[in-house]
Amino acid sequence: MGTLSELAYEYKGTGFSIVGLSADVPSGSGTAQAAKAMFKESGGTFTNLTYTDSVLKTMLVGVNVVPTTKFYDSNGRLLTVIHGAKSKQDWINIIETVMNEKA
Amino acid sequence: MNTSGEKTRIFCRKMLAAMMAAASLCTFGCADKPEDDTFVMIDVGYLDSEQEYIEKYGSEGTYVAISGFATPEPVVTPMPTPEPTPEPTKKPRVTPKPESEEKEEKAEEKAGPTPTPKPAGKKTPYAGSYDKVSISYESSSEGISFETTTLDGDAVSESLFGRNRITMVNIWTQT
Repeated sequence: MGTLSELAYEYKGTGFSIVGLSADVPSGSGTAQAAKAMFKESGGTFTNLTYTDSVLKTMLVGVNVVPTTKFYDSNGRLLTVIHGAKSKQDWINIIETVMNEKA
Repeated sequence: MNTSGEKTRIFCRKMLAAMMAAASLCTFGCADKPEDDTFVMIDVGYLDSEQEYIEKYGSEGTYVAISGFATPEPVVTPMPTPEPTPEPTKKPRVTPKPESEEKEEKAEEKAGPTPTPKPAGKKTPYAGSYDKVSISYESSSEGISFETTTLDGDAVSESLFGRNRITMVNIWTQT
């Protein structure tokens, strides 16, 4: 999460943002506090979501591995899906490519 | 010799004749037009024919002359007063525009409304130092809709995406 937090900070104000989604934390559950603690320990500083039924039917559809990263445009349309963990430079290459081609 | 009785009788006779004349004048003049435009004037006094009366009857008598006329006043037809014609308003002169301006306007009309520019945002930090990668994009045409909360308990919906041009959602688990 530290790498993504760095990127979130570096891309602030450029029209690009990073959001986390805890796929095993239902909304309003007691596990949210534990997930929050873990997220902060790993260096996470950006917004992190919990899941609901509507999240399961949309953002979590087709997610078989974690981490999975999905890119959305400003209208909520899914642009692309990236599977697995990446280095900071890999993320930079992906983010810059998407920003140039779809933003 | 003329006595005073005769003078009185003559006077009365003349007076009667004068009254009849006046009545006839009045009838002639007023029968058809009793309106204000007919009048009869009775003049009692000494006129030119008095001299003749004095020569005949002496100076003691009173001469009564009645003259009358009925002159209908001309009917004045009111003439319509012409309404004052308003002065023609001056039309502003249309200054012909130079050809260059006309061309620009036509070009703007053809171009249509100017599209609202997207919020540019500042330049991405790695715009000049990245390797382009091959990405396969989804062909989804509709945006997703959801409602949930953050780990802090704040409500979030799909409007979250509208804050930026691109939003990256990293899905992870604790285990």
